[in-house]
Amino acid sequence: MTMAEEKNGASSRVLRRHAEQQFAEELAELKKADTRPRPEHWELSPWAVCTYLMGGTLENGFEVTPKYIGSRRLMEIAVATLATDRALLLYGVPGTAKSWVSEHLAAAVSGDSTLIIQGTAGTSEEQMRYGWNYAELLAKGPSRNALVESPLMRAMAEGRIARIEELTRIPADVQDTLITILSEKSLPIPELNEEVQAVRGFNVIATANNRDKGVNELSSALKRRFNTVVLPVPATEDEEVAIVEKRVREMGRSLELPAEPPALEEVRRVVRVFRELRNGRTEDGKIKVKTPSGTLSTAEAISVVNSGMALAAHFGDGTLRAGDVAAGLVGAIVKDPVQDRVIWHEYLETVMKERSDWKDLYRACRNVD
Amino acid sequence: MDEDRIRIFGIRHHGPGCARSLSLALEDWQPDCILLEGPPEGESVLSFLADETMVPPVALLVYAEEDARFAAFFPFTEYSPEWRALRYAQEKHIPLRFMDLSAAVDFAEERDREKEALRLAAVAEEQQASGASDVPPGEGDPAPEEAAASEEASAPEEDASSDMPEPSQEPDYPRGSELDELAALAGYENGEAWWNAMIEERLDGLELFEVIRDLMREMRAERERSHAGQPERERRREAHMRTCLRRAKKEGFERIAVICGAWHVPALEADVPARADNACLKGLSRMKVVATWVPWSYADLSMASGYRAGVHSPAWYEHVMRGADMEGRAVSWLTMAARLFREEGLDCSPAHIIESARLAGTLAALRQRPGPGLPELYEALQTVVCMGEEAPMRLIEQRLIIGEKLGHVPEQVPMVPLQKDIERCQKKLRLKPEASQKLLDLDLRQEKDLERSRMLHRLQSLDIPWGTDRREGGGKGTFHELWQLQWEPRLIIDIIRASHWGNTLKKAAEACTKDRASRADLAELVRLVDVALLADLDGIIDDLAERVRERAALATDTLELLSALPELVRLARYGDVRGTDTGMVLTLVEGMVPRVAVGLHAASSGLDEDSSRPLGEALRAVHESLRLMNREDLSSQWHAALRRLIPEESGVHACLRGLATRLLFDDDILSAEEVATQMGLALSPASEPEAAAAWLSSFLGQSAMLLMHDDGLWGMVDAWLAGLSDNQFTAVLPMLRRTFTGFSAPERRQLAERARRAPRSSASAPVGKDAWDEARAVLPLPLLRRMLGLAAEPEAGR
Repeated sequence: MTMAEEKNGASSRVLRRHAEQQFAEELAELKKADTRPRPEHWELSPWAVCTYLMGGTLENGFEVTPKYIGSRRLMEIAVATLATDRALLLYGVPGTAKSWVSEHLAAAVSGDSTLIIQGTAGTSEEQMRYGWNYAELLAKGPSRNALVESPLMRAMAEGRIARIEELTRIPADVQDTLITILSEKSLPIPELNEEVQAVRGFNVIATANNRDKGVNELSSALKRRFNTVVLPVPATEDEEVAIVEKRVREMGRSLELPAEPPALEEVRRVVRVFRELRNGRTEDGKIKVKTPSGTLSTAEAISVVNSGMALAAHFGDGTLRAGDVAAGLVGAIVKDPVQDRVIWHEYLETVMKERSDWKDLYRACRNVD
Repeated sequence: MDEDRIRIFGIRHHGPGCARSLSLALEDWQPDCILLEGPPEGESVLSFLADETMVPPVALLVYAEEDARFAAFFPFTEYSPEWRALRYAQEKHIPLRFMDLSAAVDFAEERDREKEALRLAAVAEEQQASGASDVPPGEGDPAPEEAAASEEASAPEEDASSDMPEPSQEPDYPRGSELDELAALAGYENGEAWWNAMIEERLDGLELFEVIRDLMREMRAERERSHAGQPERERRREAHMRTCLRRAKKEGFERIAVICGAWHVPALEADVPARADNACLKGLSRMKVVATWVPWSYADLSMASGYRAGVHSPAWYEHVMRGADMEGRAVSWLTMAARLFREEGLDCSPAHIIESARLAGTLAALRQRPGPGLPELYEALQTVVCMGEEAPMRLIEQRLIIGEKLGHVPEQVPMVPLQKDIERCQKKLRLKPEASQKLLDLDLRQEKDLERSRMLHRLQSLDIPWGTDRREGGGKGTFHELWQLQWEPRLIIDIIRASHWGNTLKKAAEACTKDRASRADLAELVRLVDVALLADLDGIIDDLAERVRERAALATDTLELLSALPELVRLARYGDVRGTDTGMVLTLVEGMVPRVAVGLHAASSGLDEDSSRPLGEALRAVHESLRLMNREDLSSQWHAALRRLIPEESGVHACLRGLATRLLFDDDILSAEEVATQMGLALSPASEPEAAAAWLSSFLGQSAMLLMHDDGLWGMVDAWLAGLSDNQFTAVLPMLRRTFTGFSAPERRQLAERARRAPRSSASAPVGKDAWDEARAVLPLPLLRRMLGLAAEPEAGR
C-alpha cells in the first residue's frame, strides 16, 4: 500500500525516482506508438524496449532519449533473452551500468523496477522465497495471510520482472533456491501445501560483478539457467564522455543543483584521466602509466563530476572549475593511501604536468594533497 | 542489346544464394554458350573438371613462365556461382569461355612497373652516392622516392600470394560506402550483413538477377556522379568482356549466358561501339603464362586472409548452401557447434542448444529478420553457452565460420616436377597437407620419422615454410624434433619458384644451399653445414666442408672462427643420432682448433673492454664445447692458448685475463696457488683499480659460489678491498657493483653475511678435504641409489 502511495504521490520530492517514474512520458509514448506483438504481460514489445534503451525517434516525432550508450546488439540480446524463458545475467566490472540496465529493462518490460532483492552475504532464503509474519502465524496458524511474500514471489504471481542485484554475493546455498524457481517456474509453499506458479511474463534479471569472481561462484546448474551478457567498459573516450555528461545532467536536475551543467571540456578531462589510469596508457598510446587499485569505472567518473558540481554550486561561482573537480578526482583514484598515492603522483608529474592546457587542473590537484 | 540471345547474370564471387539462383536460372534458360568472368588462359585446363577427384575449394593458378612471382589465383568453392557454371557447361557439353582480360597483361604491367621502380631506385642511389652533399636534404632527398619504389617492387609478390584472384576485384561485388548506406537505410549493420540477409541466405530464385542488376545500375550511376569514372584497368577489362561477347554473337550462338561480377553488369549491357573497345585494348604487352589447378583452402578464401574478393564466412556459406530451410539450417549449425565445444571439453548440453536456438530465433524476430542468420546464431551461442565470453567463440570462428577445408585436384593436373616430387614424398611419408595447424613429434630413431624430418628440413632450406621447427635452442632432446605443420595453398607459389633449382626435392635443396654457400661468411657456412646435415644433402656436404676449410684458412678474424666453432662441435657430437656421417665435421673441428689456438693471443691483445666482451662470450662458448667434446689433444692446445693470455705482460685486457684464469681453474689446469698468485697480482695496489675490478668481475663470472666457499679466494678479495684507498674504492665501486648485481639475491645476502663475520672466521680452519665427515656423508647414499635406479649396493662408504 505504502509503496503505491509513494509511487503516485509526490514523486518529485524523493531523492531518486525510479526509472518508470522518471521516464513515464517516454514509456507512455512508446506504448502508444508500439504496434508490434507483445509477449504476454509485457508493457511494450521487445522492439520498443530496445528503442527505449537505445533511444530513437518515434513515428510521431517523439524523441526517446538513450538510456544505455554502447552496443545495440548487447541490448537486443538482453531483451531477446527476457522474451525466452531463460533468466538474464548482466555481468561486468563495477560501474558498467549493470544495475542501470537492469532497472530500465524491468521498467520497460513490466512497468515496475521495484521488485528487487539486494544480494549480500547476509541474504537469507526467506528474502528469496517468503517469510512469516510471526504474530499472525502464532495467533492463527499458517495461512496465506501470515505469509510475507518476497519480491521474487510477487513477480512470479504477477508476471513481472524480478531483479537480483549482486547475485555472486549471495551465499551459494541461498543462490540454489533460484534453481527451482527458474526451471520449474514455481515456488512451493510446503507449510500450506500450496505453490505459487509463475505467470507468463515473469523473468529474472540478475547482476554480478567480475571483480568479485570467486566470492560465491555460481554453480553450473544455476549458470545454465542464465543467459549471460557481459557489459564492457565504454569503448571510446567519446562514448564515455557522452555517458558522463548525460548522467550528470540528469542527476543535476534531480538534485536541483543551481550550478550550470558542466562544460564538456571539464568532463572530457575527468574521463580522460580515468581512462588513462584504467587502461594503463595515455589516450595517444605513447606513454605507459601505472594502474591504481580501484576500478575507476564510469560511475565513479560521474560521481566526481557530480560532487564537483555540488562544490561549484554551493561554494564556488556556479561554474564547474578545475578546483571543484580536483578533490573528487583524488578521492576516487587514491583508494590505497600508499601505493595509489605514488601512482597518482607519477601520473600528475609525468602526464598531467606536460599538457599545457591542463595547468589549472594540475595545480588544483597538487593543492588537494 | 538483344534480350533474346543474351542473358547477363550478375553475381557475387562466392555467394551461396547467387550460386543457387544461378543453377536454377541456367536450367531454365538452357544456354548454348557460357561466358564466364575469368582468365582466358584457364580454358586450357578446363578438361580436368571432369575428373571426380577434383574437389573444391580449388583455385585456378595462372603464373608467368619466366618468373613465378607473377601469379594470380582464381579460387572456386562449391558455392561459387562460377563453379556451378563450369559444372553446368561440362555436364551439358556446351562451350564455356573465360572472357576477362588475360592475366598475362597484368603480369607484363607489373613487371614493367617493377623494372621502372628498380631503375628509379638505382638512379636515386647513384644520385645519393655521387652528390649527397650538393643535394639539399629537403627537396632532392631521394629516400622517400626510393622507399616508395621498393615498396612497389615488392608489391607484386604480395599480390601474387594474397589478393590476386582478380587483382582488382573490389568493385565486382559492390562493397563500398554505397552498399553500407543502403544497408543503414534498411536497418542493417553494414553492407555485408544486408547482402547476406537479402541475397545469400534467401531461398528464392530467378528474379534475383533482375534485382541485382537494377541495384548495380543505381550504384554505378551514383559512383559516376560522385567520383571520376572507373580506373583504367577496369575500363580495359570491361572492354575485353564486351569484345568477347561480340565475338560469341558473331559465331552464331543463340542463347548466350554471361556470368560476371554484379558490378560489371551495367557495363556489359551498355552499348559501346566495337571500335572504342578495340582502341582501349590496343598495344598491350603480355607475358607468357601457364595455367593449372591447385588445391585451395577456406582460410585463404576468407576476407581475413587478405583476399579482397573473399567472403567473411566460407564455412558458414557452405552450410547455407547445403542447409534446407532457415530453421533447419540454424539448428544443424548449432548442433555442429555443440559437438565442437564438447570435443574441446567445454560444457554444452542439448539443453544449451535448444536455448540457443530459441534465443537466436527471438533475436531474429526482434531484428525483423525472416530467420536467424549468422550474427544471431553467434550471439546466441556466446550468450547461452559461453557465459558471454569471447575466447571460446574463437574456436567457432575458426572451425565453423571460416573453416579448415582443403580442396583436392586430380593428379594429372600439370605440375612442375618439383611439386610432383614433393607430393610423392608426402604420400610416401604419410604427411598429408592439412589446412589446420598440427604438431608433429618426430622420433629420429625411427626410420620413417627421420625421413620426415629430412624432408621438412629440405623444404625449409628451399624457403617453403610448410613446417616450422619448434626445436628449443640447439642441443637438448636430440632424439626428438617438434614440427608445427600447416599447409597453405599459396605454398604452391613457393614451390614453383623453387622449382628452377632442381626437379627433385633433394636436388633442389642441394642446389639452393650450394648457391647460398657461395655467398656466405663463415658463420652462415657453418649454419648451412648444419642444414645440409639435417636435410641429409650428402651430395654437397663435401663441397660445403671444403668451403668451410677454405674460409677458415683465409679467415683473418679469429672471432669469426671462435663463433663458428661451438656450432661445429655441436654438429660433430650430435650428428650421429641422425645417422649422418659426421666424420667430415670432426675433421673440420680438428682443423680449426689449432688455428684458433694460434690466433687467440694476437686476436685478444690490444683490445679495450668493449671489444673484449664479445670475444669473452665466444671464449666461454668454445671452452664449453671443447670440454664436452672431451678430446685430450684438442683441449691441451686450447688450454695452452688460454694460458698465454693470463700474464699481465700479454697485453690482453684484464677482463679476458680474468676469464682465462677462471676457465683454466675450472678445468683444474691452474692450481689454487697459481690462481691465488694471479689474483694477488691482478688486484695488487699497483694495478689500475678499473683493470683490477674488470679482472675480478670476469673471474667471478655469473656465480658467487666460488667466492663463498673458497676461503683462500675470499681472504684475497677481502684483503684487496680493505686495502683500497678511499679514492680507489670510489673508482672501482661501479665495477664491483656490476659484478655483484650479476649474482642472485640469496647469493648476495650470503656474501654479505659472510663479510660481516669475516674478521672472526678468517682465522678459523679452512674447509678442506680434512673436514669430510664420512659417517654423515654416507647417510644419503641409499636414497641416491634409489633415485638413480642402482639396484646393487656396493661397498658402503668410500
